[in-house]
Amino acid sequence: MHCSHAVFRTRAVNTAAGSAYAEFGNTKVIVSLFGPRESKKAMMYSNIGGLNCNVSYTTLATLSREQGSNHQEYSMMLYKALEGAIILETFPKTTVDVFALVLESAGSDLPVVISCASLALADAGIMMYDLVSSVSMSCLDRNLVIDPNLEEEHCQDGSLMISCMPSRCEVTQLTVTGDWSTPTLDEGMQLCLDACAELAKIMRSCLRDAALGCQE
Amino acid sequence: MRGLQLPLSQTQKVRLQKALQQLESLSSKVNSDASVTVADSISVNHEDGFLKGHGTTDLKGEVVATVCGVVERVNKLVYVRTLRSRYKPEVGDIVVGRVVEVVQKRWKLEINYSQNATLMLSSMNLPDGIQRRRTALDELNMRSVFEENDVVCAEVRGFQHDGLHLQARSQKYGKLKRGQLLTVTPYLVKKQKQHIHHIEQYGIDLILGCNGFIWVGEHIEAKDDDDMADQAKQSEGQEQSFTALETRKYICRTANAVRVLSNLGFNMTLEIIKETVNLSLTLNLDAHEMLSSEFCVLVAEKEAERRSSIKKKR
Repeated sequence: MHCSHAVFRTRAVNTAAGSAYAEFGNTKVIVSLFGPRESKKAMMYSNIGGLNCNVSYTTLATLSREQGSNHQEYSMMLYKALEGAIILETFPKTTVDVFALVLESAGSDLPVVISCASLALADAGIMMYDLVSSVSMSCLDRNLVIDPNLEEEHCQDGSLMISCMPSRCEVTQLTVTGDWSTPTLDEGMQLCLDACAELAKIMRSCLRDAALGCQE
Repeated sequence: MRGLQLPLSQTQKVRLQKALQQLESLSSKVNSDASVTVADSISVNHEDGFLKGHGTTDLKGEVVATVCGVVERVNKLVYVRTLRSRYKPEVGDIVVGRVVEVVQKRWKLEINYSQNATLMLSSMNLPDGIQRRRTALDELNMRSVFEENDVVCAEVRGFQHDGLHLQARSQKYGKLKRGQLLTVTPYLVKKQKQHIHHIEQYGIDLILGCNGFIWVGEHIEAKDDDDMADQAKQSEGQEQSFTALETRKYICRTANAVRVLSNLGFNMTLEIIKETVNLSLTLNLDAHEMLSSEFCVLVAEKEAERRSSIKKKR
């Protein structure tokens, strides 16, 4: 399936508390995570932890300049996707900072960022209900394409992105844009959920290999 | 094997594998099937009462891990220990920290915990050694005691409403000068009887902070409070003198020994650090050569030998 060319590595950045690198086709993302630590922003007492997400693109990530506009939203969307999966009560009064950097963008950036960020969270030892895996799909004249690349994203009639926790069968984020008919949408959602489950298996095996490599 | 950045040749890899396997076979715990990732279910005997500890949660009657790590079982408690976690402070631990901020009546120290630790001005001995109330003048002179980026050794006093508090009331705590600060995983520094060691033959101090910060430095005599006033005058004269070259070399050697041991994942104790330093001296290696892959493999082999010989003696 499409997941065969997914590459995940944890511990990409030595200085960060947790980090991961993901490659999906030509899209390359690196996520580094700091925390839980005190933050100047959150000086007020809170009995749950804070999550601060930031998604940025390197200047050489895209070939053209058109896509400057979407990226401000991505930070908020990453936050929404991860918020439901992290057990925030375990680190009150402190904050976890997630910094995602897209090194090369070739379509379906945000899903790769979300999956990579949840690997980085697992690498840092932050308690979560489950890993979040994310898949996006485009609808082009009633053809469904999973993980569209840039041209397909441009010509799409509608897009669907699901972030879910496969072991719990719970969806943390669902984004639907554009023109969809109900049966196509149903079919698309089912395909996406199956793809998420497969992606989660690959992420798990990556974590397991990293853990076995680390043990004395 | 834990993400060593050292380039190992084929024979070195084989030797290292062999040494690590020997160490694993000597260890009393069976931990081959114990590593879990997030949302893996943990096998528990449901009939025995068991307690769910850190890193676990309940999902439809099954015990499921919430972090990636190793499952530890202590009697009836089942918990998951992460491989790279922050320091978990306990009252009475000796920690080494770096001053991050100087705030009203306290210093904020970074100690590899989720929050910065606080060292109150009142928990610190004054430079002239007299026990008295801290005045506004003392507060203004806080910077002459510790400034930002100073390394401090202190003891955990407890948890107050605004975070973790430290104290440095005895002469063995305080500012650390003329040495190196090293960072290892807190898990490698176990609770021991003594964390502050003075290695006489080299004239250096070794402080194993429970938070994973290890200090190796020139030996400083711990003076009594009465001599503090004299010492204040003497230290001004001492600043002109430099640390001897031999002492500096030993500091570098010990620091490199700690780096190699932390790379291999061995517990930090005075004995193993001393043995590693002796090994490098007998092999006539320079301090920087201790960071090579060959020495790393030798240290692993030597440790495997030592543990198996201890086991045979029993």
